Amino acid sequence: MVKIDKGLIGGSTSLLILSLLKEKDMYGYEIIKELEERSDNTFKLKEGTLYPILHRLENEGYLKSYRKKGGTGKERKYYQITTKGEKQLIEEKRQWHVFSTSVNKVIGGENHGFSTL
Amino acid sequence: MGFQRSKEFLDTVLSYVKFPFDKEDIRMELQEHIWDRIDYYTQQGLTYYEAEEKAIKDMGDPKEIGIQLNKEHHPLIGWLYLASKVLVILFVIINIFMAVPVIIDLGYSIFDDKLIREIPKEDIVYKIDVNERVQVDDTVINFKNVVYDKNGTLHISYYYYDKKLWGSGWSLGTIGIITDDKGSKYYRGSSHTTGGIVSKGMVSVENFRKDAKTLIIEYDRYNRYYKLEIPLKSGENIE
Repeated sequence: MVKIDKGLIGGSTSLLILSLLKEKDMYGYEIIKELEERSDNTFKLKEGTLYPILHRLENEGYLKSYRKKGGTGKERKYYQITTKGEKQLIEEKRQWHVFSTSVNKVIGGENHGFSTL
Repeated sequence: MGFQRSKEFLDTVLSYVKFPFDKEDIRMELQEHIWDRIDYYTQQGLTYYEAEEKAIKDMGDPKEIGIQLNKEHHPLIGWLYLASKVLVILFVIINIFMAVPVIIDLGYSIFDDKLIREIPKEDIVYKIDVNERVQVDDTVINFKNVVYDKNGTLHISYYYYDKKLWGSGWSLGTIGIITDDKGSKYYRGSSHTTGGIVSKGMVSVENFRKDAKTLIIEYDRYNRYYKLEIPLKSGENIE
């Protein structure tokens, strides 16, 4: 199993979180589980470090939180994306697209002069 | 068992969070996460002890988490937020008390004073609705009615209250010196007041001049001054 360097996903954590919360409101543990499952455990971040990120996103107005009883009957702190957060998500997706395209251009050199050397 | 390892972990995290009012929320949120993780591992067949160990390990470095959380729960922002809340509440309270005179005046202006109502109707020669408000320090005095009766007695009814409900308890010694436009000076025949948040009072002046056109109440005590001129129904209008 490949584990991605924490620094690498660090910058895109908010993109991942906002994308997940765009689908439905979730509490911290749920977000971690979703990240793990969808990335086949590639994104196995230190779970506690999720909370400073969530609280930052809330401070910035991208998320808001509320306490609610979930399906298991246990009360949890849920996070919900705000309109401001949705705009931020679009912007971060755009940035990610620019970034990943650029990276691919550099590393995917088959069509590039260098690869023929 | 018991959550000894969890408690240690949470205590360490929270030791880095300086703003006291957010601590309990943070503790609860992280605690719930650890519980969920422990459940997950015990369902996979681990003993409780193993599950807790693993769950704590999954959380990461409590010091790092605490430092990062503290940045998001900065004391300055926290206190400012709290202060702004307190200010809003104070503002609301002050406004309520500012509104007190309005509410009281509204309430009392609708109903006739009880003291006035005690004067037999057939004795009343005329009645004037005055509703003049004066203020001495925080005490508001509202002169409500003036009633002239057939015995030549002029009754002045008023109520007063402290603008601050928790007020000084300043009691109104006198409403002032009573004179008329003809230059006669009157000494009170009788006066009585009833207490409460709003005190009601009535001053009755005997042998008030029938031909006086204006009733003058002048208060000049302890450097506080007010003068009220109340037009009366002049003598010729009275049968």
